[in-house]
Order: sequence, then structure tokens, then C-alpha cells
Amino acid sequence: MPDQPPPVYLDNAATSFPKPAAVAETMARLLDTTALSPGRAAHRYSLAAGRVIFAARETLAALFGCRDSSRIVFTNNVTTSLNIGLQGLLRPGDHVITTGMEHNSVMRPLRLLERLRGIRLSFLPTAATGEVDVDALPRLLASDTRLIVVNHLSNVTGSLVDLATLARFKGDALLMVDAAQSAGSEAIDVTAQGIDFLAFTGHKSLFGPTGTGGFYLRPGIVLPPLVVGGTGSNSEHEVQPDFAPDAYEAGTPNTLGIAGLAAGVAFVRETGLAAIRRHEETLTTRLLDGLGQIPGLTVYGPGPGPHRGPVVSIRLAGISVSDLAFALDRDHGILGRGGLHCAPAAHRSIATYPEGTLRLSLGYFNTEAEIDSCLAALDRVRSRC
Amino acid sequence: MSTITMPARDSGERCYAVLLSIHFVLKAEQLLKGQGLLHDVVPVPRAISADCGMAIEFPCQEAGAVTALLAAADIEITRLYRRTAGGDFAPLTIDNG
Repeated sequence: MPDQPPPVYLDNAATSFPKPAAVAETMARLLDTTALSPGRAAHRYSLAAGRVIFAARETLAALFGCRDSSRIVFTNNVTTSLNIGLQGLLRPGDHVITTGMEHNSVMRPLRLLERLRGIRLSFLPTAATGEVDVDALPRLLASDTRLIVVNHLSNVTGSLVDLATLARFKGDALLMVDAAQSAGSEAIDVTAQGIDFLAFTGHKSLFGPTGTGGFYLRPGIVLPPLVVGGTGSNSEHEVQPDFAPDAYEAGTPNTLGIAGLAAGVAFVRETGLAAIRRHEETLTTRLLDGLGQIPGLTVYGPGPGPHRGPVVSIRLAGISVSDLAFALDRDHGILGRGGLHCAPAAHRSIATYPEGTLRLSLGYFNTEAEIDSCLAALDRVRSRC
Repeated sequence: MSTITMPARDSGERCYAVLLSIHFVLKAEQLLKGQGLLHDVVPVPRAISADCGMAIEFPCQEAGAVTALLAAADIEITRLYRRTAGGDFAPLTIDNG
């Protein structure tokens, strides 16, 4: 049997792969040399684990322009972060402005709070490309608008939301940013961009392992925690500490995963966001240009350029997205993702609901040769339709 | 600004600052290192607190500099003690006003 070429992984919007070598090296070394339970004792292993977590907080704070690393809280993923933020911030009757491009990690908590607390939702207009009209914000704002929550980089179309405009017009409302796709790929500065709550995940463009994530909470904002319990601090009290980060980090954290995440973030900072972005934009432009040459293929999303990220949604005439995804994987080793990408609202906005799209999401470790392989594979599938 | 009510002399005595949690202990360590202020990260003495964490130990003659540095960084000292020659821990007053 002839050697098969290695798969071409184009599902980085789900989880980035591969990771920088330092991620696995760091995790393996720590797992073999220390016990990884931070803040739970005063012996050297506990202190070493505390230093791991502290260093991770510091590097993430630096990446996000946050001056006080105690405002970086670790969670298991961005969904947990968004739930802490949304369920903690929103009070009965509050008005919330969001977009038509949200992932279910935002939409489901909002729909739950709509039912349980009677919050009211308004939506910024969304174009068929997935681009959000942020200039409409002033006319949606009301005296009781508590929150504006947006998906910074769409996991369906790659469209980016202009945070600067939202921050400029938000008034007294708080700005919550779902940075699941953008953290590690787009420049984010919570201070300069006026972000009050930034939710991130570790396993996508920050190159950490799954099971890592967190959020930034602007100083002065106090939220009730979703989960309470042991924190290693204030141990003589039966009441949860009220200061960040401890208030939101009950239970022994995923120290090993956070160490891997820190190694991933260090890679991002050493490589430079500008270099990462430049490479991803080059690949995305090559992909979009090639897709435009394939008859019967439709691209859903913005054209090439700096106003979009490396996520591309397509359909091919004559074949379902699930069959297309399967054919690309089985016959050509191209790993994309078909369906709704946990974002039915976004697919309604771009008129691809309920079938969805085939998503090709690129990462820093993809190459131009891989993009060309993908394009050639799509053309071969098309020729058989 | 932070002030401390204790004699400013090199007595060789050690002082102990208990902070909110291990995060703030390590942040304080980072700041103290940056300023070249001698210190150790040590287990919280049980005579001071039932907490199971770490504290910052430092020469008492540096207490003014240490408390000022931490106050400037918004790091709250929850308890501050001086260890006496007899081994007892005497509380010190911190004026964060």
C-alpha cells in the first residue's frame, strides 16, 4: 500500500493543531516533576504550582494589555467564562445588545436569561457576509442597556467586529467580547479597546490544550461566582472570597493545562501577533482566490483582507456539506467541518440554516502547499458531482 | 500611601505580611525582587493565621518600603506582624489612608 500523505488539518477554529513543541514539553516535564496543586499547602511543590499559575496569568495579562494580572481568571473553557459573565452581570429586565453572529455559548445563556430573568435582546444588523453593522449601536442603546456582547471573530464566516466603534458608543453599558476565535490571532488590548469582560479559550489560537480558558474582568466589576468552594485562600471562612481571581476559581485548577496554555501564549508572544496574522491572511487570501475559481462553489463571508480572520465557509453545488466533509476526509485527507458549528443564529444570518456550511479554518502552522492540496481536492470532488 | 507604626531601626527583627492569596504573594515577590528588597516567601505562621498559604517575610527595617511598594500596586496586606525576640508575633498597624 502506498504511503498516504499526512492529513491536512483545517479545523483550527475548533481546536488548533499542531501545538508548538514547548506545549507538550512543558506539560510532560511538570507532570513528571511536581504535584501541581497550587495554593493548597506551603511546601515547595505547591509553591511551584502557584508559580506556574502566576506566570500564566502574567503572560495572558501582557498579551491582552491588562495591567493587573489578578483580573485574569482561569476556567475550563470560553463557554464557562461567558456563563460566569452573562449569568453574573445580567439582572431581571436588563436590556442586552448582541449580534446575529453569536455562537451558542452566548446565545444559549442569553435565551436562558430571557426566560428566567426577562432580559430583553436587541440585535445589531448583520449582512449576508456575516459582517455586523456596529454603526447601528447608538439607535439600539436604551437607558437600561446593561450589556453589549459580541463575537469578535465569527467561527462561521471569519468576519470581524469593530470593537473600537462599539467602545466609543457604548455609554454606560458594559462591553463583553467573546474572543474564542480571535485571542492569539487578533490584537486585543482590553484597556485601549474599552473591554469590560473578555472571554477566551486556551485551545484555539492560544495553542493551549483543551480544558483551558478564562476571562478578563475589568477592575471595579464584581460578579457573583457560578461555582464556590475551596480556593486555598481565606480557608478559615466558610464564605467564598470576594476578590479576583479567587472568587471565580473554586476547586483545584487545571494547573497542567494552564502550564501548557502559558507555553502556547509564550509562543504567540515570541512569534508576534503581526507575523501570525500576516501568515494567516496570506493563506486565507490564497484559499479564497482559489475557491473563486471552482465552478459551483459558494463562499459565505467577507472577501480577502485585513477585515476578516482565517475562517472560511463554503458550499459546493450538488453535494451536501456532510457528504463534502466526509469525501474530503476519506478520499483526500482534508479535515474540515460541516454543519452549523454550534452557531445556528449565525447560519440564519447568512441564510445557510439549517444545512450549514463546510468550514475550512486555517492556523499558523498551515502551509501554502496544504491550501493548494485542499483546493485541488475540492476541484476533484466537484468534478464527480 | 501606606505608613507603619514601628521603630525604624535595624533590629534584625523579621516582619510578616499576609496577603489575600498566593497570587498576591507571588506578585509581591515579583515587585520586591524588582526593587531589590530582601524577602522570603514562607508558610504563614500558624500563630498569625489559620490560613494554609504563604506569607512574605522581610527585615522589619524595610517595613516602610515594603508596605509602600505593595500599596502602590494595590496589593492589600491583610495582616502584618513583627516577630519579637521572644518568638511572639506582635501585630503592626497599617494605615492605608
